[in-house]
Amino acid sequence: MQSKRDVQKFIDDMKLGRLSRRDFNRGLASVGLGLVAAPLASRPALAAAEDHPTVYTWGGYEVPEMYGEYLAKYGEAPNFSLWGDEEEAEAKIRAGFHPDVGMPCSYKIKKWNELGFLKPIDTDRLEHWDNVIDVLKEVPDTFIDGKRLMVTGWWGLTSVTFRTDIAPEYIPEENHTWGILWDPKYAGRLSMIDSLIDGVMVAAIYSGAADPFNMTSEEVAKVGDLMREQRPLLRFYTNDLTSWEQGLASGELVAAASWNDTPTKLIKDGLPVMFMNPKEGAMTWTCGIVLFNYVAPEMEERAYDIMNAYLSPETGEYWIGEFGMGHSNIKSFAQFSSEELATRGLPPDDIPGYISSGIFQATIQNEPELQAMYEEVKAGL
Amino acid sequence: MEQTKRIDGLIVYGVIYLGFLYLPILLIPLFSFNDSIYIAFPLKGFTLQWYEAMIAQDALVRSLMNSLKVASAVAVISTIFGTLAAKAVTGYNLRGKAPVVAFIMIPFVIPGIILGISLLVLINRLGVTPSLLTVGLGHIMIAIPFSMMVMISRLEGLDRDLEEASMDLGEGVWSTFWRVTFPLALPGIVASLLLTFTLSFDEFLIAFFLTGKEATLPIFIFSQLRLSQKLPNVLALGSCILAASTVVIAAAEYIRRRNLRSDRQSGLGV
Amino acid sequence: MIRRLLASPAGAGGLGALLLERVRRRFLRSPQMRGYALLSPTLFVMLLFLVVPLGILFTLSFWKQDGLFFAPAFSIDNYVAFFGRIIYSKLLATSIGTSLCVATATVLLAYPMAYCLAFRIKRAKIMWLILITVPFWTSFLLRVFAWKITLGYQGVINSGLMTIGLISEPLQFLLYNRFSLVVTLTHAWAAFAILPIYVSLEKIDRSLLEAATDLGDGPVARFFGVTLPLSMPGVIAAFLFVFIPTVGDYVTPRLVGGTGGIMIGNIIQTMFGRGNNWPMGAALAVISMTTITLLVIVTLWFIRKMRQR
Repeated sequence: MQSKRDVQKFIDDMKLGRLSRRDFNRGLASVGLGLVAAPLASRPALAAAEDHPTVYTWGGYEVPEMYGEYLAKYGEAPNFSLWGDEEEAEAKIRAGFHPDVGMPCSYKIKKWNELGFLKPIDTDRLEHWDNVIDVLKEVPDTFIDGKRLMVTGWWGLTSVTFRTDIAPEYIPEENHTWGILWDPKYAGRLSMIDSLIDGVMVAAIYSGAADPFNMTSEEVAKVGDLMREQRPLLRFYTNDLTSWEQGLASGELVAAASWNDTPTKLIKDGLPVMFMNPKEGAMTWTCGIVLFNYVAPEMEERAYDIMNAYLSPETGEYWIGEFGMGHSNIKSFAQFSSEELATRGLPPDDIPGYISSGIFQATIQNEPELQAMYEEVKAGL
Repeated sequence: MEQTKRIDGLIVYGVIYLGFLYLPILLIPLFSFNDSIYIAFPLKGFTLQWYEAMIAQDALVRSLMNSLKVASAVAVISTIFGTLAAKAVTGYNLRGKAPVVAFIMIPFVIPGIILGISLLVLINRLGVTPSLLTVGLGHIMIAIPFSMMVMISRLEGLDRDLEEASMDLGEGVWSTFWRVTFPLALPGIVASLLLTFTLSFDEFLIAFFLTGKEATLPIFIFSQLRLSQKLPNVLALGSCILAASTVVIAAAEYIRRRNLRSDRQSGLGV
Repeated sequence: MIRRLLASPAGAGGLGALLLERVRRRFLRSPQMRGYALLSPTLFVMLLFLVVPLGILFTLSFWKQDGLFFAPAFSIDNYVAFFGRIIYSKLLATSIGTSLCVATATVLLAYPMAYCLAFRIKRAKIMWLILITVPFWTSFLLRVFAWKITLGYQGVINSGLMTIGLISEPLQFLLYNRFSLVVTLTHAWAAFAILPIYVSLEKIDRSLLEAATDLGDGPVARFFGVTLPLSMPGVIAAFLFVFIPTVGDYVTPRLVGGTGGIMIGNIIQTMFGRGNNWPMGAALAVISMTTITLLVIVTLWFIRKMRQR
């Protein structure tokens, strides 16, 4: 009896089903067409993939303005593969992804070299090497055992950006301190960068460790205590600058550890903020270009052309103009007036001095230990 | 009387729930016209510059196309696999059913970073270059369990009698499938296609590890976080996706109503 | 004999056809075979691409990190280490707790919507289904930002409450804590709960509901006696769809969870990066996978027992 009713229902369903099946088929066909058409559309890109090196880098670095020289020479762009986070990028390379050129930051170089990722760079083949600011040639860990492993391309400072209208007592230069990020007066309205290099190292500098990048166990414990003290005062740990910039813009945050492009952008938006020059020392970050060991011999020349393009003054000009961060080619600053540089937070007269005023980021020696400590702090232990 | 009251309550709930789904989403178009790189109140002023910038940003548009390709393929293929598996699991009293189902469900439990890394190791050993194809493969792996679960919940306890009835009426295996099983499975198939498409379209980690030179949309968007200047372009893109989906839905609904009027056929099976 | 048959092309064809016919007959006769034949494509794909990753995962979890590289010697140290540091079990517990909250909230909120779709909406259902899915075609990241603006300091809710004079200072507890994490995730997984529940509600034979009414069941009794039990497969699927992926999520906690926004997924992820301990990461993954699987099996078993009663 049950099945009789079901047969009736089945016939009904068929009536209804026929219509919907037709619709459904139509939908399938259009998806199918898309699939067939897809390989055709991407063929030029595939052809290009054969004869250009692959650049593995941050998003935003793949725009044509960044490699104008290369484009002029070859009429085509190199291939790009984008990462959002160096850690995941590193894992991907270890798992077998083999790009030709990469753009990590200085503190990664030692590890990447030991992992066998990197190929020494022949600076004689770099057209703009002579114009690279001298202090940037001496960034720790970019020159190991007589081998040049990273050429600095861009740099900036990590320090505190704060709202001058809410915390005016910090405006005088002598009051500039990382301590604002520990000020209970602004509990719940402070933020730290969520990483070892820009976060835990800030606490290390504030703690007065002799060498923040190579701390003893006692120093690590002291940093841990400082960070535990700080955690309840923080709104969040974040590693996307959008979060802290937005927080500062809305007044949700009073002070945030940030990079030097943050105040530039916020001031342009008409907000009362200031970038500190903390008495404990700001941090100078440098990132640049590396050559991967995987680069095929016939690709090498083009890989060097990519490096040359990224180091050119034209690229530097775009970089400074667009992002408000420093470039390593001293000539790229010549295109800007003193005021233009000043509004970007860059001192017009003494760029090298400004760079060396901060503490250079270097390889963190006891990374796993610090990572474990940091995780426990964040987990509230 | 009481009947109508209860119906109203449900519909009201439905509307509120849609509000919960859409209210935050509608902020995306709102801020895509805002003249500030910060997504924060108060609004600064009206601008179309983000849309211009978006169109000029080739990589963004290309990554959208890549994601559309991958997600459509993943939706179709994983739904086929998921449906077949669900059919096998629900239609036949298979020996060893539980372990087999559990095995197929594994990709669902593995953390994405591990599936991504180990699949990359595997394809690397096989000498395959990472590309959109391998991204699709990775997504199919995680989409099949979703599809299979949806289809199981649709087919369970449903089809045996009907199929047997159809077979008894002399229909062959193929025509039974096409005329009985498929229409019955259709709501599940539609749900599975929608879910697996959404899953793939928005997946970041596995795609990150398995892609080569071509970025999918989530990879592109995550890589933009480093430069807040570019974020509004992504807002503009999100708004365009919303607008395009709305237009497609509206058009499809319009066509359906016209067909309805001409055919005098009512009640779509789905 | 076979070899001779194979030697001539026609013979080979004949044998092939013969074999095919036998397989076909066998296939049609045995439901087991038919079932496995239907299952085989999926099973094949999974075997092909899952066995190696699983092998890598398990092997790695028994290795040790030695400086930057792995020491491929068997040891259970990583599993011992799990119990050695309280942080691992604590984070696993908070992750599971948060995911349970999220999954429960999502399913409870989604059920009436799915019910509405299945029983109240008569026409253009496919449109409604798409309407529910569309919000999720915008990027995940944008949705997170959207929630930040909704719940944020000068966000929609705070501005609204301040305008109507209910509060004078923006409420801080709306964002960057476990509450905002649960809200964001409940929103993020909505479609994954509505669709499977809808699918299982849709298949309920309307005549059963009529029969229940004829037997004098009120709407409430009918719902708990007929509708809910019959839609359980969908509810279970929905619950798992939300619960399992959220346990391993590490991006959402980082973006909206505030200072406490750390879950087991974050630790697993850092083990493959800054923590530089892939074997430990693998062991943590195995432990969290096993815990989730056990939880799910126990729950399913419990539900089955309940339904049998």
